[in-house]
Amino acid sequence: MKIRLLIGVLFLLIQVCSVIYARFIPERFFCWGPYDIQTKFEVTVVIDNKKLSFKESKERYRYKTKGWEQRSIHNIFLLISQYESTYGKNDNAKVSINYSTNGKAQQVWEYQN
Amino acid sequence: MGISELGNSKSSRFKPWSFENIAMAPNILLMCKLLVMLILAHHFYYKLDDPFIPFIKAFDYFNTTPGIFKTTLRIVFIIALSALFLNLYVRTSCIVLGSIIFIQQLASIPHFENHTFVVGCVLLLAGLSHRKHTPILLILQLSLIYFGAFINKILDVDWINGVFVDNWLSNARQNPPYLFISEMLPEKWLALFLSWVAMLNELSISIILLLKKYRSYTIWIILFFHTVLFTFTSSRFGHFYEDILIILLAFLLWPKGQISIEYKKSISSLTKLYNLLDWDKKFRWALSNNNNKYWLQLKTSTGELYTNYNAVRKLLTSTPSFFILLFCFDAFIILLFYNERAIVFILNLIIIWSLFLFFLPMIWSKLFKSK
Repeated sequence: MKIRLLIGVLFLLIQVCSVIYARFIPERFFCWGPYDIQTKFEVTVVIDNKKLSFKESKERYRYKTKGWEQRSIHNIFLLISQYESTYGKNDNAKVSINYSTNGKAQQVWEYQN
Repeated sequence: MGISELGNSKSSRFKPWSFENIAMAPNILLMCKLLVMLILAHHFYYKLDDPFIPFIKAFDYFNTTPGIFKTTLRIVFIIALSALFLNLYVRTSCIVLGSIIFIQQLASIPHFENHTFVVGCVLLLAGLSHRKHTPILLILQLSLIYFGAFINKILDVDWINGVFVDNWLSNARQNPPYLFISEMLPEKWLALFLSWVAMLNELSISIILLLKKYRSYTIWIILFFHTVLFTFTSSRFGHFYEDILIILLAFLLWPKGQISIEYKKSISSLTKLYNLLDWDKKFRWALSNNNNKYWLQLKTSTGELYTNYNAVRKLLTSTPSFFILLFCFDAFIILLFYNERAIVFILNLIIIWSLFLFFLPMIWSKLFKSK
């Protein structure tokens, strides 16, 4: 019983560390912070001078590429950059994301291999 | 066998409808089964897949032999799920199921969802909890969820000045009640008010949950907070709203042993019907004599007495099938009106608020008594 309790407490402490760690990085995973940011975004992916449709880009990343993101937009930056640097590194894709967080001025994020 | 004993644990094996005399407290077992049913209803099984853009890059190694990772996870998931529902090694099953959820979340960034992650956390901690002790791990988990949410908000200037709420409700959701009310008030005043109510609510929940004396009040605050949120946004936030409602079952004061019920003849047909829901045969029904002024009287093995509508409330909240039927009914409504979400929402509101108002008059200390 005590061992199980100890494992449970350890697991909770890992979460506490994760919440603290999230303060120092722009992404928001495993820190109980959903729906804290609203970002309207649109992803544009160009491969070999051909622009992918939203359906194609959604299939590529298995994540929505247009609409509202209720967590940090950096979550999407991480997702896309990790994909393009691993599975898609030979595609030489040019990715740009137009986004606006919490109704503020439009910004652009770009990625290219 | 005394009144507080219902037989040995072997009698509950291979009986999914049984919640008593198992290595887990009945309400926590119920919570676990409902959570698993919930994620299954949200197609979790099909989300068990090979790694794809994993958090831990080492997971990509499994992609060298496609299908192995997915198949292994699915097989283990089915085995653990079956064991849980058949009341076999329930605590171990919950630990395994929770672990599978974590692996699934870690193996795919696109699949990361807070409302699924919380299920994994709760299943794991439920499996690590002892049936005879206060579910302290679950209390700490719930407290941490709200504290984490508060910290994320209080350190964000857009929450402090109401910008997030205003943008969310006016631009993203175009929420009619918010737009209507905010027009009558000074600019961003309503957004500021809602921001601070949310933040202070989360902070107070996270702290008061840890105080045994006031824990029961916090449960109602949580219920009210999330139900109001659902009412005004019509959003379940994935299935986070359902997650919280189900997790709160862990805090029910579940009566031990058999419960004696005396009823007047006028409601005998209802009691016979209710007997069908008593899968654990926990209730002992008896006709009351004519001198009894109460039409329903419930007495627990520890001597607590409930009468009339309080007895009905206690009865319902001591019956696992009541919660299971509620869950199934909700799923049924969604399926029936799948393309008419407005109807689903309206029906949800009617049912949720009716239940909330019906159970509200309960004497809190007798139902959600701090363990």
